[in-house]
Amino acid sequence: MNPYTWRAVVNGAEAELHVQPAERLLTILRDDLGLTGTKVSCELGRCGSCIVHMDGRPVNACLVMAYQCNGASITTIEGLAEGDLHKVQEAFLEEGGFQCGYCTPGMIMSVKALLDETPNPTTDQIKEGLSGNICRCTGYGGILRAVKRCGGNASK
Amino acid sequence: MLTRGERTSHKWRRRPDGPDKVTGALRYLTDMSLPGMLHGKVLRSAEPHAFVLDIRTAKAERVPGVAAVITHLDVPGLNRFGIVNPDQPVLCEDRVRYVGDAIAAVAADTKETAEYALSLIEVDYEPIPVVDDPELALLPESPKLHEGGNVLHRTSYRKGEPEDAFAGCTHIVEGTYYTPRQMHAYMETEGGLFVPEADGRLTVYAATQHGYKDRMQLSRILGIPEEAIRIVSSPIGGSFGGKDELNVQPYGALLARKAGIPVKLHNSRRESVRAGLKRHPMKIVMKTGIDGEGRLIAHEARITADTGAYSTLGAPVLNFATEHASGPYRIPHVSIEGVSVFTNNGVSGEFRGFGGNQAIFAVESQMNRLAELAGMDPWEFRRLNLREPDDPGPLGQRILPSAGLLKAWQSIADSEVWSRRTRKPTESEPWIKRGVGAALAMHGSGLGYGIPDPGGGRLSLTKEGKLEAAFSFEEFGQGITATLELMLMERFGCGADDLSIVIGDTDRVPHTGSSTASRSTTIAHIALSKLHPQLSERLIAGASAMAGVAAERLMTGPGGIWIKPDDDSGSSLAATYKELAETLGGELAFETKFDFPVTPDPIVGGHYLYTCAAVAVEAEINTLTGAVRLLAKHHAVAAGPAVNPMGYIGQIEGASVMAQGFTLTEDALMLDGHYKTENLDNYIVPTIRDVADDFTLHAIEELPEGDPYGPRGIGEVGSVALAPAIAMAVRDAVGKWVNRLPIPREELIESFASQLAGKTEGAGAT
Amino acid sequence: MAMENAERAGETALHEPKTAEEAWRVKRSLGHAASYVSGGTLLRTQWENGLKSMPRHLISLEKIGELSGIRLAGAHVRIGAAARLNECRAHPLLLRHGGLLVRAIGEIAAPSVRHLATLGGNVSSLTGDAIPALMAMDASVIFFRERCWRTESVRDWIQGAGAVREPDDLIGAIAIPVRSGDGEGDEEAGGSFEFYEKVGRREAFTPSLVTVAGQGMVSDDGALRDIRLSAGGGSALPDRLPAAERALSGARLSEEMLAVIHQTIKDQYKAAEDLFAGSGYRKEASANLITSQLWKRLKS
Repeated sequence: MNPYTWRAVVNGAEAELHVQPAERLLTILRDDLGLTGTKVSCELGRCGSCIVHMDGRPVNACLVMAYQCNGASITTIEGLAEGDLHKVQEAFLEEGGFQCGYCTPGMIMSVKALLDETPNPTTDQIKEGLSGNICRCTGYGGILRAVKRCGGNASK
Repeated sequence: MLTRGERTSHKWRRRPDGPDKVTGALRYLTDMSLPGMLHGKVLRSAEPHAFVLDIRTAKAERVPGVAAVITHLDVPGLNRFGIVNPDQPVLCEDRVRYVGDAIAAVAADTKETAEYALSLIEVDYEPIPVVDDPELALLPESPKLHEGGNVLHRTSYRKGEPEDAFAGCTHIVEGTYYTPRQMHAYMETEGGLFVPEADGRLTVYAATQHGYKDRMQLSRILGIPEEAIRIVSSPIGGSFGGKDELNVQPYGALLARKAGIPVKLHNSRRESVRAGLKRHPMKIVMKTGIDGEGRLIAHEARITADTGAYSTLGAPVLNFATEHASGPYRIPHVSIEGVSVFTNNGVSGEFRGFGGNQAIFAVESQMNRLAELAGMDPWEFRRLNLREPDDPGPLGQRILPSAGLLKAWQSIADSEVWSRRTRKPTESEPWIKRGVGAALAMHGSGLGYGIPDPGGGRLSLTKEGKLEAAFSFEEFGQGITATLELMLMERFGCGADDLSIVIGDTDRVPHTGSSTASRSTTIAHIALSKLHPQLSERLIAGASAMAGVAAERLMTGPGGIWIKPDDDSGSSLAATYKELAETLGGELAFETKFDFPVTPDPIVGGHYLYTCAAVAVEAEINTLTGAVRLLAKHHAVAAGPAVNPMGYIGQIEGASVMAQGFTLTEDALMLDGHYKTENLDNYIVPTIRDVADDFTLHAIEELPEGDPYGPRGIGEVGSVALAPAIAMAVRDAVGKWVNRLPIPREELIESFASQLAGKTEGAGAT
Repeated sequence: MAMENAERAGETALHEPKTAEEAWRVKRSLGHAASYVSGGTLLRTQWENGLKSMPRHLISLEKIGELSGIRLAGAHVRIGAAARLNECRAHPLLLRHGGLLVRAIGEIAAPSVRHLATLGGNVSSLTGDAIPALMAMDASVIFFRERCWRTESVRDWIQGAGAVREPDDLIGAIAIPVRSGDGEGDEEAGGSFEFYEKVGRREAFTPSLVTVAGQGMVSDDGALRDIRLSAGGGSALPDRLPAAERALSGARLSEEMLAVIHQTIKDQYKAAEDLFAGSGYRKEASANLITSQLWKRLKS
């Protein structure tokens, strides 16, 4: 067995684990760290349910291997806000941006990344920013309205 | 209510399950784990059709870390499951009929160990020719998948003398329509945690849409009483009908009981694609005739459904398709025949729309073609032939009258989207063509005559002073908990924090049937109509005694019972719910049982409550590639009051996009009994980039005077009429009829060279 | 089914070479037992799909300095193979000199995947959607083999299996020629033009059915010059379309000529055939897309 020491900062707390170097970040988060907010769905980066932030950028945790995020700063949905809800989460609640909720953590992490880069996105920019997040329940209507609510009122 | 999605009233509330969902705090059943639990994996058939000559598990059993290996020899009770007819083996004995058939299962300390052990199980297959075409499956020389042959079910409905009536028709249209093998693609795959309890009971934490039915099926498989099993079945990350039937539960239950240790299973997406249910692909042949004025005279439909390897709900789906194959029209002569056929193609089963989507695509497409032959506007053509509110239902049964159909029709006629049909913009690029189409449907809710469709509910005041409602429903995104909260707040005038809503746990709720068939809103409404007055009266009587105030002066409200305000004083609290709970002692509970409303006429499968819907769509076709893009949608839904506006809009929008996938991009392709689209990289569901920005929903909330049933379910109806509306838009744009879904680009692509050649000639070439 | 992931992750060894030479040596010595891993996004998809097994050895390219960075190098923009797709898409040098590549990247995958996926990974997949753009731009691939760095046109490298391209080749960089007039707008009358079109099975995040790209210019006398056309899609290795290029070179655009070019493209384009689209559709679509783009040029 390869002893590989993985160290990272997860939601602001230092984590150190002995894992296989090719272990998926998704497995580390859910199984080793018990952070089940990040979801498992397609397992090949096509649905966005597992999106977390790595050094401030959105990535699919099912595609990132342990050695690729060693030393990184990782934020999951659980670390998005401490105490009060983040404005993106508030907007999702107000506009019904979720139904079953399974795509929601990854969706919210993508929205946050989008707004970090483009605080006032147009509809086209929102659609591009969320093009890697599949939702099967909402038809994306509530999601678009939620993002527009916290992204200002940029015209198309 | 006319909306583009914005909040509409005081009933617009944040969902009670919202905060946990947006923070990731909610534990879905597949997120659960226990220290020391085992991981289960199922060995599925390598062959789509074969005899199984031998199964050898000895090597797997010897792998360190493996706690249990099971085969059919380990099934103590009935080695079969299936909601209607249990004909699917839990673990195959001597024959496999599709690549998802289960042969063995392993529980081990890690997932990797379990997978490794699985790889050591040896199975001797003797392949049988694969039957992958339902029409070939019907031929006498095809291998028989089951004892009774390859026919699961036949349907037949006849009215008048259609064969003779065609002779008198001015125009006749014949069409053959094909619909795809659509996959539910819920974001959370099947899975759960199975816990053998110290007292000998088994707790099953696994998704379903009918906890009590799962309990019955598992008790039959395990050979233990139902009361020894507890099913916790909520919350769920999407289902759309796909998780109603059993899936991983038998394996989890058997492994957990054999090992005596909790077992977790969670299907990978590939496993889910391979073993899970799909929508019935159907081939529908129709022949429809009209007279010189455009009135429908005769209609014939022949439905062939590919039900795959096992029954599950194949028969009711065919019944439903048969019932919906004449649409909401008055047709004097009708002949519908259907056959549902076993093949080695996956397993087809319950899926939102339930056979309606396929039949409605076909019949509405017929109407489009007939209107054109008659030289009539296609929407006026429908008006001319529309059933009247008091007409019998499509199978001749009495149904609940409603003016909803005409109102839905009118909504489209008045819609801005429909008006674009006659005013098309000039395109900047000559290969972009625009078109507008619409379609109309009525869709039955409930399970239909002859099928047990139990409803009920329990309403109580708990010891803690909460008003508690309990139903055996599951929350899989549709918002049932939010709807129940709204219904209770409306009736009691109380706050959300006065409430306790209990669902999805067979130990804690009465049996109120399944969360399927757009039935739960209706069931809840009927149950609360009966139970609320009973509890309310009791609470008021109790408060009256406690406070010494006459009952007529009291009313329920936030926190407790209030004295109604009058000229002398404002309202004040007579007794809190908590005080009442303490005083009245113990639980104060009222229960009711009733069946979902059903037609009085004994027509098997016939429905009584219908939701009516129509949709208009504007589409753009790029003839360079044959791609269809949706620009605008206007949905009209007549389903009674919108109890939960946020939920209502969400369900229609979501169903509409699911229908868009059904029409344009989704097909779980199979070749020789093997799935070729094994994951979401090749099975194409719509993303946010595919969705039209221009969306309008017109919720028609009026019900006939004295309607006893209140709000209808709307979970399915948003998905049933979009396909033929898009087909009409395509015809409008490029002059082609499409009969096959998803619409093949090959049929709509046009050579740019031909366009150029046309131009050059037209420009007066020498 | 039971075989998927039968290799426990524990049996996979990680190598983290610091130079291209070191990486190449490890790969040469391990052969099929090892895979180069750049972003790893395509590989992880293939492993999950069961198309390939995770090899026993992974050679991470992430610590090789020579593979990183985007800079001007003489008459080229040199893009390190390890440059993430999003990094390329936003880089000022590429916005100015690599507009077609920037367009192409916008059609690849989705934002989160583009933060991991690299340009080198896209090219080494042999069917990546950046490749037709790079071919139309006359880009080159700089790769390491044996003891030294070598340069080939992207076109020749993609099409040169066994001769020009060997399995252990390690892509170090992609070089895009700098053209005068870059960044001054590409639709100037009488100026240069370029186009990139990808047809998938839905609007975004889709495998390509057909991808076409083109670059060229209209000289002062109205004739087409310096024209490059490329096409790919599905499992087909992207390629240039020299017959169509020859017919267009020095010619003046007209609708008659485009009708002829349409057939030339259909004849030359080597279309893939699979469950999602036949070769006939792909030929028609690629010819349609290229000629319609040229037609727009004609009309402007």
